[in-house]
Amino acid sequence: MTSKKLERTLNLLAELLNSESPKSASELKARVGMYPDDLAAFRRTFDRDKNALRDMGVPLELAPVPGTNPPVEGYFINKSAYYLEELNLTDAELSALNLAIASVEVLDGLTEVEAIRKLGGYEKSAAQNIIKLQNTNIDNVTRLFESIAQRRRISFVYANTERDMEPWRLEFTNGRWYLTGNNMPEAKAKTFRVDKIFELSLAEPSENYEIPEKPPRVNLKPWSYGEEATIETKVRIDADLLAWARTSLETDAELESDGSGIATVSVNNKDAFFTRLTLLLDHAEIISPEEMRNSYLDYMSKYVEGSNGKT
Amino acid sequence: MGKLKASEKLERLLSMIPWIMDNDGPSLNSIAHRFEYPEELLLDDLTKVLFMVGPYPHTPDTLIEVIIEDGRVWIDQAEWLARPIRLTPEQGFSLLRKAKTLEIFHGENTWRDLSRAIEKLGKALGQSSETFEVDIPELRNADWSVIRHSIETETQLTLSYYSYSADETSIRNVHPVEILNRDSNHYLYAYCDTANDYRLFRLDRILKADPSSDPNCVPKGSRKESTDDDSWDLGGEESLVTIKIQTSDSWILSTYPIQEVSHSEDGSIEVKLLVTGIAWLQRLLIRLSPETVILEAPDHIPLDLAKRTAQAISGRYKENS
Repeated sequence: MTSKKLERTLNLLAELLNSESPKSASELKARVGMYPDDLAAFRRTFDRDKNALRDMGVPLELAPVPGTNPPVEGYFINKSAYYLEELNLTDAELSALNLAIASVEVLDGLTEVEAIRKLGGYEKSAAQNIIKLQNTNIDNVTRLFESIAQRRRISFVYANTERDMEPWRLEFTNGRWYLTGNNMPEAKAKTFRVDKIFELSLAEPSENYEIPEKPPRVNLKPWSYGEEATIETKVRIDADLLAWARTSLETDAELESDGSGIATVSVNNKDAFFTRLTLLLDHAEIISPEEMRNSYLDYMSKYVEGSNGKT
Repeated sequence: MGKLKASEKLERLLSMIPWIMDNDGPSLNSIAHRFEYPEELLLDDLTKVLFMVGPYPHTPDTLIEVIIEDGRVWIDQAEWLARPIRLTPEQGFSLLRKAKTLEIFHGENTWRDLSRAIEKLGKALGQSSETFEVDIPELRNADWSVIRHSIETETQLTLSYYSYSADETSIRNVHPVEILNRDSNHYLYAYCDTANDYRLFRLDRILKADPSSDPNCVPKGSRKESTDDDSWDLGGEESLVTIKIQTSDSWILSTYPIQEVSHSEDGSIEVKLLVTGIAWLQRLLIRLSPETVILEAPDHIPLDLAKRTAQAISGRYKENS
């Protein structure tokens, strides 16, 4: 039975991939020549075969059969949507991809084995898992991936506000996925956290928007958002906190002879910067400009005088 | 004979046919291995099923031709199956994400085959490094290559590690297992000789990593899967501290492990917090409103901790003024 079903589904695919125009169900039945004569049984079997093809990602579409009146719906496969673009992967490149799926484990239920078979074969590797990541909101992420690939506009709800956007860039950084795009109708670049996106829907594919050559990167520096004039602030950071500060302040530091480092941070929002700087406790010190030193000391003085100073 | 469902056979055949056509007579054995298709079953399906497939009118000139000679396979008259089906968005996303993650792990542009594969795959998926990016900034740690090498070679490491909650640095000999994430941070998961247990070490708090040629000596069988209960830091003992916060600071209720909450008539909120180290509490207090009050704490935590912390920070400025 299984071989019969396989042969029939392959023959259906052969008809569809070799047709230039949509074919009706009855025509496909006649051409494949392996379906039951009974109409109800044919429909059940034909539905199962169509579903098997669609489940594999075959873009089986419906369209009117040419020359029919009244119009009859027929089935066809858009060849440009069916065939994988020629990748010309070398054996070494395919091995590298195989190693990627063996080495990186993501706990989100997605599998790449079928994908790698399409590219030329899966090598069951003895490679150990070396990175194990948790991932959430995978449905939104894959749909945004699709929307960017197909240049499809999207709409969604974010912080209780409905948004329309031309998506440009999907970026995973600091442990989260972010979406950057052209926020409509004001046509301004904006970034959103993907895990806070709800009710995502994709418009029909269209080619009428372009992605800029260099879409903006995610900016996770709250101290750089603000109306205040930019203050280039130099901070000395003790050696012990340097690695953490490098990630936390997203800036490199020039190393001093005692192991400490001098980081330069562009600040447009003092309060946001001070909030981050407090995490370094007394392991960091603003060294210039004087105005920032004094502002930070004023900020600290509220705590020296604060009500939790009771003993 | 191994078993595959009809849907599994269909998926594998549609992927393998282009590969067979593209390679001059690959062996049955290599096809079976590469596409996870039991060899005996493969032979059966190639000769009894695929041989009967083709478009109408199913005459010999339209049916797929399968030639098997000396254990090698050729397929002809199957131009319509000469290329595989496109990757689904889920398949494409998942594969590209893993490839980019591994590339970061090794350092960008250090593994040319992987970088080229990513570029080709991205292009086929309608993506580029400008539209789809994966970054783990902690892997730019100066000693990352040492940590990576120890994971790959399963050798020990000596870490100089900063504890956020205790505000102190300690030296630890560890047996690395893997890199993993929790919330928005990335950690080295390793067996720690000092703790005699597995621990998570946040990558951006590893100050220095010294390699060792000593192999990991935690028996494989004792390897423990990481759980959310693993210690996230190497701080001191846990203490319960009660603080009174302002409404504007209620964000902490959904951010930290809170034991009890009670709302007062004046709008303030009493919160019983689990504190893993005094430095952790210091940082929290000077991010909250200056009106925050510690109501109750163990003896080693002074009630005027925020004031003392602010004084210590300000003191550094006075020394260097």
